Amino acid sequence: MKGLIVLPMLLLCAMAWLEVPAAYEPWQAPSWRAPLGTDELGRDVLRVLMASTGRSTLMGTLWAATTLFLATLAASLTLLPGLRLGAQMIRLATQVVESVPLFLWVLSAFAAYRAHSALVVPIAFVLAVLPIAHAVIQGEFTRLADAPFIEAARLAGLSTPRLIMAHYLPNAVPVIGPLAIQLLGIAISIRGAIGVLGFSTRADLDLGIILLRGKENITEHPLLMTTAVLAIVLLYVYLDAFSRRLSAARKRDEGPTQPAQGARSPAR
Amino acid sequence: MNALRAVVRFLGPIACAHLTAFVLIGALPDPEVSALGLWSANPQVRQSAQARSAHRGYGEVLRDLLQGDLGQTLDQVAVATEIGDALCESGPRLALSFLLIAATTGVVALLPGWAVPWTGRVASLFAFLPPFVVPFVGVGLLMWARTRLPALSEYLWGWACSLAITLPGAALAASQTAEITQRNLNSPFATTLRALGTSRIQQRIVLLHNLTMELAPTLEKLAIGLLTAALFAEPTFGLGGIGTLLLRAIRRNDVALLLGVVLASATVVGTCRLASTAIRRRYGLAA
Repeated sequence: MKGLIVLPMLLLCAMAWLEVPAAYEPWQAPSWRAPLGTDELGRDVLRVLMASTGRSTLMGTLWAATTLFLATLAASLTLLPGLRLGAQMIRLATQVVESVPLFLWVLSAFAAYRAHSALVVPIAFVLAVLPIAHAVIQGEFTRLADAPFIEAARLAGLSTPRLIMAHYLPNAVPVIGPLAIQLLGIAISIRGAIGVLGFSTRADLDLGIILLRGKENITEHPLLMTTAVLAIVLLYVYLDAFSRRLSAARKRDEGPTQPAQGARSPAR
Repeated sequence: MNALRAVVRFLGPIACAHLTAFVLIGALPDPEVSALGLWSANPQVRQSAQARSAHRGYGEVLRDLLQGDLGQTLDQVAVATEIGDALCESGPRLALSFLLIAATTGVVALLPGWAVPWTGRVASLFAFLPPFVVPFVGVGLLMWARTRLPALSEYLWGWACSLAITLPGAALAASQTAEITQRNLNSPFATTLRALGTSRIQQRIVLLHNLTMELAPTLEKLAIGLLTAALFAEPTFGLGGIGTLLLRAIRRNDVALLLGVVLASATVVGTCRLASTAIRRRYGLAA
């Protein structure tokens, strides 16, 4: 049953390799061959959406996963004794990065290194989001540090690395899950933001560029924008369910935390 | 000593952001090189063009900054004047957005217990959407309305821009408020209040103190969210302001203007951080 919640994510990422030929007339109405009609390049809008969603999800997942891994690693390192100065420096870095909109950092980096944009954008994204993600995860680790079970594990002689792997990380999942979803949303937005600036190709298969083209054709062909927004909404609903399922499984592993049956709190 | 520490904590991130932006943006191609399309030209020709243009080191920029000179844009207009005009134009929209966000927070905090989790989910969905979706949809709806109600569409244009700027920040604030309210309602303190027979509104008013304290760190994120939303909303609606100015600076590689906007943004966020610290100190919490 747990595999079923992961399967849609794998299918989404697999859609990134879907072929989208320009085999039809531009702006055709919906039909059996093209259920959502065609776009200005003569491509089936449904296939365009599927490929764009897949590519955006795949790239966004890679960027978000890299950021979370590095942020969790940095937060884990600050738990080690003697690295308090590192924690202060990361706090300053977080404040510096948060002083300016994220999009400004990434778009400026893109504008500066356009020739290498395929590598620059993910690097700029990871560097810009890393301090913030680290601050959130470190905040959760700091909160868990006062938990009784952490204290008990420490007194039982558990080493810091084992404490991190066995207790800190699993109990931080309810915080890391929603953070991962937000990072994925930002990653999907970044490509679209580059399109807003006018630096991307209109034929690119990316949710952000689809939204941009949808905006330009919203009066004559509203289906493009509508279906792109719907795709993002459905993606979020799935990711939210995935995150909640992960958090619920984590709570089941810890054992019952609900009050005894029959005990009812006063009505709100 | 405390005052000195506070000044360093306020100015430190601003100075570091300005320096970081200079290092990042300083790598931008010279505007003359970009304008003449010399990007892919012969490297020697490009170097010759770059050698002709004036490059300012950070020391020079910092010296002028300390004298109150933010430099000039590519159009030979003082950066301070451009930013001041843009802030005057964006100011009313941003102020309205802030008020609407505060009102949204108040409404969510007073919702019945069963509605709070669902509100949080819907708000998280809107926070997930790319920041340019709402302006795009807004412009589309207004252009559709223009064919039927042209006068109303023109009247609503400015309001729609303000709403587009408000929505991402309101979604963030609402999701945070829902999460905090839900946690507070499950706390022993709230359970005691209910057991004492206080009404729902009375409970929420008492819990507002806790909400204010816990929402204080979100002030900085709200400031950033408003600036980001303005970056996309104002150009999409074709209105002037800080967002349009910033987009113009990025597109034209206007280094002086970009540095000026970074400085303004860092100062606003630093001020919000200061306010957040003051609020938390008032409730007896460490910063």
